[in-house]
Amino acid sequence: MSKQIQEQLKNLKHIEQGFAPDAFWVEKNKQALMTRIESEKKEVMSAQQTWQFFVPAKMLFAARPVATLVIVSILSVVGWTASVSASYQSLPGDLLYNVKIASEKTQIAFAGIVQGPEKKAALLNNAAKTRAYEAKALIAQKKDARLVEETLTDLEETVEQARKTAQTVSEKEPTSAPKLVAELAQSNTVINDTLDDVFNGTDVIESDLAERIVKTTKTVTGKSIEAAQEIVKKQEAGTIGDEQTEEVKKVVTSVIESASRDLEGAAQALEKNKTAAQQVEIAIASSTAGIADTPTTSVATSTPPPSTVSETSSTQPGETTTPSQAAPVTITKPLSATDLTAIPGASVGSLQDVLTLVNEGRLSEALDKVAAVAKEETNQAPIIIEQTPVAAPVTPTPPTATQPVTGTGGAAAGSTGGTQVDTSSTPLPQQQ
Amino acid sequence: MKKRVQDKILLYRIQVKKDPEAYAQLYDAHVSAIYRFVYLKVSHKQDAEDITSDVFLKAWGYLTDNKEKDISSLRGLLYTIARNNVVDFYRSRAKQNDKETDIDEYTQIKSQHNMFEDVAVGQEASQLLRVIKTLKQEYQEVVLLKYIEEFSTKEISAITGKSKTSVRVTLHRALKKLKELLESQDES
Repeated sequence: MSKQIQEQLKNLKHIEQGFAPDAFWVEKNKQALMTRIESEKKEVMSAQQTWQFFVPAKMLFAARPVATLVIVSILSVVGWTASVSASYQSLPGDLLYNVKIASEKTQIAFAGIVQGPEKKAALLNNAAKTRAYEAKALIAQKKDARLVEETLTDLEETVEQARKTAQTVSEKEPTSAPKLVAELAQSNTVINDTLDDVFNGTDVIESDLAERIVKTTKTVTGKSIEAAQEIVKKQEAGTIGDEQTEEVKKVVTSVIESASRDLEGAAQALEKNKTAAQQVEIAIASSTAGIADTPTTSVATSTPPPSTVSETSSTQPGETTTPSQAAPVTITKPLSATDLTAIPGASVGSLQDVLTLVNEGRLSEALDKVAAVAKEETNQAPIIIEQTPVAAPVTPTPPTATQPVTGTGGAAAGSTGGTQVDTSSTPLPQQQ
Repeated sequence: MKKRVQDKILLYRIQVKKDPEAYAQLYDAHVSAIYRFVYLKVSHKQDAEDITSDVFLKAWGYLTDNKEKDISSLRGLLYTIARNNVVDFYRSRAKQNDKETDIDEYTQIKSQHNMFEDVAVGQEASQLLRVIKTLKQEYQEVVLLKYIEEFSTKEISAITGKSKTSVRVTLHRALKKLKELLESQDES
């Protein structure tokens, strides 16, 4: 019954005859309506109103927050991009440096997830190189040594990360291992060259800092050797196929040569720096000695001389020098080019043996030997430099109340920052 | 979708441009339906014509005065105005006659006198219409909107200002009542 009623109700609609309006009335009413509405003043809507008209009210309600969000997002992205671009030139300690580091880390993390560990390793190598350039720039700008040290620590950590990433990739794809190690070694060579450049400047680097830089060089070199040792182990274990033997050999040779060169360079640079420091002291001592009227200390350095120094030939053991006595001054001779090349001689000598081992195919042994040499270098005792008297006579300085000097040579020894000066081979003349 | 876009453009021309031609199109498209809806409510040709004419005039005023209002359906707007006009019509007539009767009572009284006096419809349809006219205004309204004007529950809800649930319940009750009335008429 209900459906029937519904059908009947729907049919009512089609009874045109009964419910349709009179056509004449429709037309007449339309004319009247048009006359009335045409008399109304027309208004022009603004472009904004027109836009609002076609945007649904619900969307219009959300339009403002959405637009705000979009603008904020755009500004954030643009602002971030601008900050990142501006931060590329920043150095540790700068305001934008953290932006640079954050951008770098994001890039590395993104590469690790999306582009794969090979790309990550490449980016880590680049980051390590950047740290080296930063350290060099910091030193050139005479920035705080603490910042340089932090940068070098970061550098070492980044190199280690790069090595580990290369190792991870190698475990998954052993065939790509030689290539990755070669890239790491190449990057590390660039780092070492950059660090080596630090010593080529005109300024003398503080001895502690110089040693820290050399330590970083050795650490970085050690990472290259470590990476090379890993691929050699892989090859010996048969993970890397025989077809890549030559490639591995080539990589190992390259690593050994680079390591030897870098270690040698570092040692030379360190010595050169020490010599330069000593030369500065000599210059200072000479200029001070020139002032005849005023008795002053023989060598003026920022480092106070030790109150007691080792006895030289002029002073007998047990004998106490009186203040009025002329105190002999010990001055270290600057190193000649021959002396410098002779210092890392041990490692150069070892290199020949090592390369012979490589040629014989004993890669593992060769690398172990290089690693040992590197270790030797690291733990090497301070190099002993022969000491000769300086040509310019130095006026003896009566000890002051604050800095009593007993014996001779204290100032020079103290100023070299830990370099032992052998005064026994050549007796120093005493200044009367 | 196409119809909605056409409606939106038409609405833009009316609301923004105050285009009489656009309004003429709207008039042509809906005048018959509005007239029918009103006529079925007031059951008098002259009254239906007056109310329908007023509906279109008020609609024009509403559209041009509320440019920023989001109007989802032009058709729905016309029926809402028509419904309100019918209510106003009964209210004013009730006041004129100075009778203390409610709208439903007045409608029933009036319908008895004027119902389809000018309409020549079939016997079955005439009977159905007569029974519809005896229903409460509320029931008549939802039945007409649902089955003759073919509005959805959501649209009826927008026109009447009731919730969708309320519209469904009212419609169900109206049909039930209609059925009872038709059955009682058949028996008599």
